[in-house]
Amino acid sequence: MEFNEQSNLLRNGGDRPTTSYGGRAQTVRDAEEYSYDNSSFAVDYEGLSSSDLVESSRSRSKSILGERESASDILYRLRYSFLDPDLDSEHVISETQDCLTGQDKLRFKEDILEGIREVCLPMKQKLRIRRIITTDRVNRRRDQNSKKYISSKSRKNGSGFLHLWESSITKLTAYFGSTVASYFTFLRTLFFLNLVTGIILFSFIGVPQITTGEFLLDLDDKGKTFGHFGDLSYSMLFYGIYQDAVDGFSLPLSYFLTWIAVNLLTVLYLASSMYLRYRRSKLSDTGSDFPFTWSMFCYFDFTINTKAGVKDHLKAFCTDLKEKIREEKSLEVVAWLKKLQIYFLRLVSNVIVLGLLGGSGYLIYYVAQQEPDERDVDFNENLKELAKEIYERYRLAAVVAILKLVVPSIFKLLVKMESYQPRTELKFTLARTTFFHYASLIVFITSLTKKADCIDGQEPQITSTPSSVPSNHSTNNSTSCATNQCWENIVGEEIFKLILVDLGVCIAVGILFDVLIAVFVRTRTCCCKMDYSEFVVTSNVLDLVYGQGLVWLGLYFSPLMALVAVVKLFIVFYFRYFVARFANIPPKKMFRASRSGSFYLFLLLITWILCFIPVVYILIEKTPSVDCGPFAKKDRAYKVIDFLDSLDDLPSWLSWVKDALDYIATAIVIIPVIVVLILLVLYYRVKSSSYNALIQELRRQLVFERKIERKKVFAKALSVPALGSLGKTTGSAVTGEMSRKTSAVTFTA
Amino acid sequence: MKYRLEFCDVISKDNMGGGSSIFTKQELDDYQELTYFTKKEIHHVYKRFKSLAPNPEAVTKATKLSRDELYALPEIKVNPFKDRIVRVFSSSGDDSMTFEDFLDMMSVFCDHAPLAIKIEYAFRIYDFDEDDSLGREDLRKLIDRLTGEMKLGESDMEQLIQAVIEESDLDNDDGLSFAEFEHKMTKNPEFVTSFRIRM
Repeated sequence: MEFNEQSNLLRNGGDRPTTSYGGRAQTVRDAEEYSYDNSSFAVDYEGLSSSDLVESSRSRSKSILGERESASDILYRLRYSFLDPDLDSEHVISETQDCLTGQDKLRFKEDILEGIREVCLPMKQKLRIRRIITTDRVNRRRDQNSKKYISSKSRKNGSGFLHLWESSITKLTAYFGSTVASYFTFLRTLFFLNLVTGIILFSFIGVPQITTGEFLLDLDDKGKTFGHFGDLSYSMLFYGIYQDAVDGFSLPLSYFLTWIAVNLLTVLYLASSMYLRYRRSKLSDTGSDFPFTWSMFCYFDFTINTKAGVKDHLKAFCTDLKEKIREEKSLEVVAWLKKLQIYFLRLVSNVIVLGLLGGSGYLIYYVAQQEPDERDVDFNENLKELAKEIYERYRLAAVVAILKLVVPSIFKLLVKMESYQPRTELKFTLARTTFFHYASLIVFITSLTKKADCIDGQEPQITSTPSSVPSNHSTNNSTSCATNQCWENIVGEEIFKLILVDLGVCIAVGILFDVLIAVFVRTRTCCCKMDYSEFVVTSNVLDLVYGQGLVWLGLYFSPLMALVAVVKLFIVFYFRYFVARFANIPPKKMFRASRSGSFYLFLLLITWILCFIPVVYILIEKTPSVDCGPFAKKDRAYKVIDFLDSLDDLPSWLSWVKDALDYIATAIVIIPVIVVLILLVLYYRVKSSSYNALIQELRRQLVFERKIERKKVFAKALSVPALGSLGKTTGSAVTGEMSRKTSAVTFTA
Repeated sequence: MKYRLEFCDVISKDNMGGGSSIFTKQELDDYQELTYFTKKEIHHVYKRFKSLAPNPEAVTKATKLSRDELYALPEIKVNPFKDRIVRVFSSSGDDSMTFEDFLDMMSVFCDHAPLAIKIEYAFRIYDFDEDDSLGREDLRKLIDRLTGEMKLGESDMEQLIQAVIEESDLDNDDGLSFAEFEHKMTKNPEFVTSFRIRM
């Protein structure tokens, strides 16, 4: 605006009304100049007076600027052509084009064509410009260029396999908006991830096993009694059946390496997609830096196109806004007595949370240690016996699933007692629930694998069965015991049971809560004022991540677990889709990070780490069971890699390798490495926080510069006598630093 | 509930067979290079455009759709900003759009349009009085549109406007200029996901 006033004064009489758009061009330039060289803010008075848009004939500006306008200059003028209705863009372009020859001409045309798409002009005008450019082009050149453009834009049209379920997701988006849609796209990503994992595992492990022809273990000759699923236990689903000797193909090696490869692929995919998303979003600030501006301009979701959807969305917006305004107001001083009360309540609730965590951990451990009665399910028995048997088998899975249902709801209630801001409340609940999930997973897997460290003589029925080979082992080797117990199978089965129970609980809860409430509301049976239940994105996403963690835990013990997960995700998708369509409304509180997918990927990555470490520990520390599975004959599972196995007996001249490796594994080396890594992390944190401080400083400087410039310009403008007699008089002169771009730009003011 | 049925009634994508007789190759190439659509998508947009006209058979490229016919487009029918959208993209300034304007509009709102062009048009849409800056009046009208039926109280409204100006106005001119608007919107990853319309 300041330059507007100035140019008004410059013109004689100022009869042409200038629009107040004038300030825009200069502010754009300023915003782009992050180098705080004062000269770049200096005004090119010469340029201002001469290239006044009303009088500028192109030749005049050319002669004063001293050169032809380049493609980027023209594009820039086009971009601000709404400032100047008289700009005859086609004339400008065709004349410039005529002045150029040969290579320059071609380059000019290419630049204009590339840039014209990004300019905000009406389509008609863009078409006219394009016609001018392309009329007298050589055909050969045009074909080349069009190939270049088309190939860079060859995109699939949304009908490929990777866009499975796309139409369903679009239907949901029309009502619920992008947040709920992001849950379903996340589900789809997991689906594909599991599919790829399952296919790789199946082709490298399952197919060789199939070629041996043995799908089910023959019970009779080995007299084993493990397995809770009847025939399924002895099938390819679980670890136990895989053999250690297949013709011409080392199945144990393949089993081990494929598992490692699949895990590496997963972590690579997660890390790279997080990296790409992070780069794309350029998150230099945290989400709460400009809460009001962002909620005003970015909240409204244009993808919602149903009346009811918009109504609900705007209602949520209003609530969100009111909350934010209240938050601002409530940053006031609270009486110290009330503060004390709040802190006391917070302390109490944290203690309760810790107690819950500890209690559930112990409960899981305790139930896992109980030895189930190994009996087959016999459907001829009466119902009571049947129920007891099912209870015994599914005890652990049921406990874990019920805890997972109950404890997060308790957390939600507790957090209300703590009187936090709504956003902080959400964060706390999320953090606690996530922590609880991870803790339950870890306790689950460790208590299961404690079974692998069995104690001698605990299974009376097993020692009584006659078998020559196992008894040798049990008498000779005191560390490997309970030999007829294929512990990997047991662990695999427990995880499988848990996945099934989880799915069952999810469906049951969905039907009981969402669908039933929807039925009540529709038929108005219940006289109280009820509304449909909301589609809570966070807890659904956490469920998905938890399920995926279970799958990763179980991949070693059951190679086809990924395919089971594929089926499960398929069922979950359609179940949630139909529940959402018929019984849910959009969430009233928006969890901001849920729109950017990188938060979900981050959760997945953490889950992967937490699931990879225990299994690696098991591989390294536990002895595989001696009578089932591909690692039956080995002391440790990783010894299947010959190199690592043969480390024990290297020739003497290579023994230093073994010594070196042993040395590396000790605490003397590991602890300094860990310390160095921690220091590196701290260093990067400090660096990034100092960059943040720099950003704040630059922002302040930006504001300051504007104030100073305004004052300067006013002073100049008031002291100027007439048009044309400005020039480099008063110190804010054009310096050599002025780029051509800046000079071509300042004319618009 | 009746609105459930309405929600289910979304126009599904139809697949285009031939239909290349409407545009010459040159025109298709031009459109493809001036928008962010592929040829198939352009045909699809043309089909949607035709379906809005009162008699679809007589539709040519030069047909202009009036404002009320445009408002019938399902994707913008319930949008609180539909009048601004139609005004901004109408090249003749009188709220009527030719096919090319319509194509332009859908191209800007599609997934593949870059952030810069979306920000530019978003600024124009939100600038109710078209003075190239989002002043207090613009913000007030914006809030009114967004809060719908539940009006915000006067003091809340004032506080909100003041907060926005404080956060974003760097040159103290009591309004958001384009540079300030752009500066804020580029930092927010949600902007791209909310400012789009899928055909």
